[in-house]
Amino acid sequence: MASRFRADRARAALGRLCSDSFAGRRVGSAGHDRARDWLAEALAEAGARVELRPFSAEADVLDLVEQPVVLVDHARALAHRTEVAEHPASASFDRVAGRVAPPRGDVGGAWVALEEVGDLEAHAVQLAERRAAGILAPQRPFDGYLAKRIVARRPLALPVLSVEAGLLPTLVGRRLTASLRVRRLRVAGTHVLGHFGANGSAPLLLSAHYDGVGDDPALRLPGAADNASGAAVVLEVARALAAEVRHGGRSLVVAFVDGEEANALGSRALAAELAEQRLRPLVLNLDLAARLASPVAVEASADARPLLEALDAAGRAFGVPLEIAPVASDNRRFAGAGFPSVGVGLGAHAYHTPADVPERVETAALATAGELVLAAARHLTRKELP
Amino acid sequence: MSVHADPAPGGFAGGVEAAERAAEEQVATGGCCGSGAAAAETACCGEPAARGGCCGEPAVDAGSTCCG
Repeated sequence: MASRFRADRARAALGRLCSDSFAGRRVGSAGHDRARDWLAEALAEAGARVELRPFSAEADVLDLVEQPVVLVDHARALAHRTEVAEHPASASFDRVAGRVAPPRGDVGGAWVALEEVGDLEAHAVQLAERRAAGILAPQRPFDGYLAKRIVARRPLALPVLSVEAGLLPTLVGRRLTASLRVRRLRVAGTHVLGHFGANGSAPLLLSAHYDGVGDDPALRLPGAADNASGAAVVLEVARALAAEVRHGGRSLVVAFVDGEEANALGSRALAAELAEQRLRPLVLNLDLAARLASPVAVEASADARPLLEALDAAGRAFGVPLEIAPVASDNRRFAGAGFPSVGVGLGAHAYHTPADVPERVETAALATAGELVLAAARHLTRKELP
Repeated sequence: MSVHADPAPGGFAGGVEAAERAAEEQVATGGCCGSGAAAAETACCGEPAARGGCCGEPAVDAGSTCCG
């Protein structure tokens, strides 16, 4: 009898991936490496032949060394992540002080409060020529927080901070003193692959990224929706399918992909390696299985018909409506490599903020994603290959 | 497996062929969300919960949280 998807086990895996010791799973961090090892063990327990595939990211990741200190009028400290945040285009700076001024008029020695971010690089050049002290860039909050970004940009000529967009105009005329310590790290990541069944040239690659944006120095960002939810579902699907993948059918490769939060450079590297190995997998990628949006979003590459057929059948079997809609995740890297690919996304209540916690992941979303992906994967792996 | 138009409660409304056409249109129109755009290294767009918007840095500064 075919195994059913166990949402309770997926929920337990989600909790583990969000645990304090994994520290939000930012690529290149010790917590991330502990998550990698846990996933490898879990896949081995599920019966997979586990393979760790390292890669070097070709971009820098921003590492916040200390919580930024931003004082208004030498007194009130702005709250990190709700009122002020590091900007990915800023270098470190120490006790930069000045009044807050609008961009027009005398900006000498001032923190310049932009009304709109626009072309930040051009602003920085012009404001540096006008001897400004720094730039305050408005950022609109999401769910009460300023979303965290870890893809480092080339540092601009001036210090830059992101400030909550509603708060920023109220700071004009006040005196601001700020310090920021960040590092730009060229990190290495590791994909965790689990092979089930005989090696084949056209396996089903069932993927979900396991990396996150990582904890702040004083705040936890467990990355529950993004994407512990997807990884937990894929792990449970692997457990359910392990005994069914058989000789003559399509083999299964479960891929816990790394570096999605670093511009999806990990999946780009993995896709290139698979192409070099002359493999042409069918790719089903799951990202954000945390909110039961209806219909479920599916983004498909060209020539993805077998995947669409399998998802359609699964959706009909479980009464889950599907629609073609954007899913911005690793599926695009695989599609870019020419592999038939779909991305599946259910949604999230929070994203890249401390509010992205396991309690806000709907068990119904895990169950729906699991049933959908398991049924589709079962269909694709049972089919005899020509 | 049905590949015909069928207002069933599950699966793609209109069936697989309609889904395939919609996917082709998404790729063709590109924008920031088509797979074709991804192949061209466009780095943006389309957080499923929010369904749309773009996620270049200025958009994120403006509160968009859709970047993959």
